Amino acid sequence: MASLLSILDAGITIVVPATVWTLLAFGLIQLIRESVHLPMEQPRQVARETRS
Amino acid sequence: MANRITLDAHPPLEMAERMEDVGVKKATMDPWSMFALAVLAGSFIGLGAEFFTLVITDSGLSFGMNKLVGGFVFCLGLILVVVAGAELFTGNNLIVMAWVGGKLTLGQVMQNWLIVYAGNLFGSLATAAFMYFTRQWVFSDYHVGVTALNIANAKVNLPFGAALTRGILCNALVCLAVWLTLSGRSVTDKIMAILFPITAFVASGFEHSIANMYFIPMGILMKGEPQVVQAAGHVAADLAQLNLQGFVDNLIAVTTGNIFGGGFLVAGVYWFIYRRPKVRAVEEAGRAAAPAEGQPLAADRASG
Repeated sequence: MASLLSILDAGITIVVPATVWTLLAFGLIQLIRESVHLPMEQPRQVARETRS
Repeated sequence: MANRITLDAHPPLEMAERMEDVGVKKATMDPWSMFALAVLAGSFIGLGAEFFTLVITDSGLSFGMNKLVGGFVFCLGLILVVVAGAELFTGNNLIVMAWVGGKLTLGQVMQNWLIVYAGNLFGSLATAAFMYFTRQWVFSDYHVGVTALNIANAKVNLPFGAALTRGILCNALVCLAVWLTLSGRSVTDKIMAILFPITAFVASGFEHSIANMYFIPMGILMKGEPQVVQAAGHVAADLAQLNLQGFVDNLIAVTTGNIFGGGFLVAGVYWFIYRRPKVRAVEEAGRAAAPAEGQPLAADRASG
């Protein structure tokens, strides 16, 4: 029982931070990509829209 | 009777829809407004934490009752956040629902969390500084300061696993409180929805990252007051962990737990129950088949 609890404890303290930190890392990468791409996309979009 | 007036609470299915819409509004708000609202939320939670510290000091109540009363008064923080309107990081973990529903990108969620977390930190630290300058901690022969010192010292001495799991359970309850407020139609409904989950988390000693942004800096400030340390009966070694490193370590564990508890256990689970594509398709088909009274049936509309 004690060993089962210690395995569960180790599982929580490894799996939860790994899941959350992976999510945060992907989110940060996507945020950086969006903030780099958006300023590049906007002038192109305006050019496309105003082109006669 | 096309427009029916009802006082019934919103059912969970509507709450889930509202949460997605609220999540989109929150994440697409102007960043400066978002930051200002986050500073307010940090201050509101700080005020709740200060009220808690004051009330539990020398209350003369039994252990359980002291916790209950402390939890009850701490609700001030979330009531101010929800009713007055502010951006709280822990509550905003529910935005995950709009992300998994495909209405937001993960980048937008992250931008909201970063700005709101920074704003909450600023508001909480400012509130701690204000409370320090009020010298309210000298009340009851420095015992208010002693309570603040002991609360902070207990928090920074928590092992990683305990802080993490307390963080998970805390934000599951905080997000359930926010979730319940979506069922309410009046201010009274919202306050009643907040009371029990928040009292439960505070009384149970769970860990809230934004509240800790007030509690731990306040304890660090109290550590620098010799009268408070003397009244607490501490020696320097007892308070060795109560410093910036202890604060950051606690925040890492508790914030991780808070994100998991709010984002996965509440937002993720309710999205799976009510908003996953298969359930949503069945719900939309049901609505099309049974329109509101006085409205033409979908088949009638189609046939003109």
